[in-house]
Amino acid sequence: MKRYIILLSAAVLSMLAASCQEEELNPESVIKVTEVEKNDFDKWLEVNFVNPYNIDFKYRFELNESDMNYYTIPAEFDLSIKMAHLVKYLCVDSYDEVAGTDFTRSFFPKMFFLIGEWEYKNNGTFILGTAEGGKKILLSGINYLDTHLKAGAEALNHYYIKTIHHEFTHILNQTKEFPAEYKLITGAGYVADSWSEAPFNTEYLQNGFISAYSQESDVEDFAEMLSVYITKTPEYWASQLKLAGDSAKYITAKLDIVRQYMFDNFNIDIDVLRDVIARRQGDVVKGLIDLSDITIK
Amino acid sequence: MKNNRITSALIIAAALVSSQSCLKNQKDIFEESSSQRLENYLSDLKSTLTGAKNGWVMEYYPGAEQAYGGYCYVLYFTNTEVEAFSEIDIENSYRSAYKLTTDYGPVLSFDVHNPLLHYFATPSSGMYEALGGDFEFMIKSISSEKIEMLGKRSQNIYTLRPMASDAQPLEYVTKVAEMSENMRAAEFEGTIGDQEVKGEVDMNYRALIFNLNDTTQVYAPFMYTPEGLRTYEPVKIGGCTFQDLYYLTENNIFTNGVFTLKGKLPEDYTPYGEFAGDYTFYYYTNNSRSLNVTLSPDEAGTGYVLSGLNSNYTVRLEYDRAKGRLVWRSQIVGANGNNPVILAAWDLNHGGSLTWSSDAGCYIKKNLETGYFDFEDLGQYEGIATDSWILWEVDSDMNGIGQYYGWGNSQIAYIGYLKRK
Repeated sequence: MKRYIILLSAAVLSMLAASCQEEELNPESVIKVTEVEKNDFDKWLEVNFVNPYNIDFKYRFELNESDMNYYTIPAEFDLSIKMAHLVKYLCVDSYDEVAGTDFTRSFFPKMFFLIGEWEYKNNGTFILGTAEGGKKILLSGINYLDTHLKAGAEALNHYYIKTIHHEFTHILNQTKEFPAEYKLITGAGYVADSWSEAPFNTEYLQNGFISAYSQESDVEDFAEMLSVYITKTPEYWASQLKLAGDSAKYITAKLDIVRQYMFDNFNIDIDVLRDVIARRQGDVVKGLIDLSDITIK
Repeated sequence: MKNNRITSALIIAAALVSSQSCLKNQKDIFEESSSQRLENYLSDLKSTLTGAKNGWVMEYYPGAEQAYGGYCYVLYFTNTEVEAFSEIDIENSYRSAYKLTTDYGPVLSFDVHNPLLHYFATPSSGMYEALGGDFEFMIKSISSEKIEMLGKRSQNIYTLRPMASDAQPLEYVTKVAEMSENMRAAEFEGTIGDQEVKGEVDMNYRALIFNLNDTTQVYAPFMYTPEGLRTYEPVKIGGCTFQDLYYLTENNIFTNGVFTLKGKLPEDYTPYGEFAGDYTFYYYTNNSRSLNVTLSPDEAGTGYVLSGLNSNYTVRLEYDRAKGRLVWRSQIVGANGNNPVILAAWDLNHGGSLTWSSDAGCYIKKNLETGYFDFEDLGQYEGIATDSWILWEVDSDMNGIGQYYGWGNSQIAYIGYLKRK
């Protein structure tokens, strides 16, 4: 037995000896971060997005952030600056105003990634924006921003801003689930990908949905309800309910749940939020906000 | 006990085997870590890019297998920005940021939008893959004479060569654009080494097609240069290897100093000026219907205007210098409020599909037998052989709305030919 132990010790020792050549560790990390010289816009972003909210606003193309299923291109520099102002003034500042900076810091997406074109599918349709894991929002079609800005609030919302509110709603839902009874109200009406086809693409109101895309699923419905409600005027909402006829009661019942959910969980009154967003949209459309100014105040 | 011995022996053996690694002198093959070397490489790349005082000529081949041929760019690099010139816009240059990064090995990325550098990569509803152009390039080799890069999407080689010291970028790309305008050799023939060749120049997709005999064909994508053209890769025919060909406009010949290829115009070639005049436009198969139309040269002298189809619009026609024909493409001819109205290529013979893609349309070319001008499908848009035209209204996103009746007759069915008055 003793000999056995000696032999074992010898073996262990000689194994240890394998590491006898001591190598000094290189103090330099092998991981290198690509350094890009900061321009004035980068500095502005640091002051307005990174420092206060820890939001990374990526306006330069990065392979790893892009969806390789689509052919796309980088965003224009000047339009990226405008988009940054719009995200800040219409979204970040709106939530700050209504729910407080802590709310925005905690829940608002931590990364924006801009691309110049839409993500076109091979059937000619295209994707406006997507959200990933409650953290990142992709904004596409930035190179068309001027055209839609000129066209007014509706176009601006349709192509960009409503998308942000819509995706942000998903993030809130991932943090706090919405009540299960929501999906029962128009439970039979969810048709997945068929929402864009006839008759669903035209008869959504009569079926109790605020938009065609609402019919995709209860999760999308919830996000559409909130994002449409807060980016449209009260008159628009009333007109849609009128068109919905008998089914207006379903939309209203769902809106009540949305309203309650936002209030109970985040202390947000969606009517106040709608007013704030409307006022701010008005400012942008009237040209009261300098969207190109990147001086640091 | 015997078992114990065997175990002991095995342990000792194992110990000996493992102790060998102690004797082995493991030297690093490289003195620096891979990331450090990559960083050094990028730093080399940057100093090479910025070091070319006159900038670089980029040979840009978009599309898989160089499907569209090559285009000429001139690039100037500063530490943070690139200024781009190109034959696709000979009046402007555009500056934008660029980045050297390491996502797929050493990579040069034009990561902020530039109208020239992203032209071939910009997708649309009709072309979701764009023209297959690249804006991210893996670096294959660096020297002050040549930088070779691999386009991430197309997998084509994009080469940068330093500009000659006496060349001005705008002047250079203008000369290239002029060469592409002026080349009139749609076909060519001659002898290369010991090989007789006949061939064609595909001006639309920028490729030389050499027919060596009935069965052997050599296909060589090319780009225009100020002096002629340059193929994507060296071409080997009849014992000769060549990549650059001079084009002599006055004689319509290609040469590299060793051999000469005589350019030819097609038999139905019509010189630019000869299209002008008044015509009767016959349509509807049995030619039972006709219109009085006029072809007038446009202001730029690069195309024609066709008037008389309808008092509400005229049609722009391009002149194809290589083939000596007019080109009639689907195009916006007016508007209904904010909605564009398009005169769209229409295929009645095969069921009535239509498209407003500008790839679709027809040639107007001389019929050698009748002396009239016939219509012939361009053959550039799959699925539609244009035999008719139709007015179609679309919304501001170019989504179709429907046939447009606002200007009266909206259809020109079964186009026939143009007969000079």
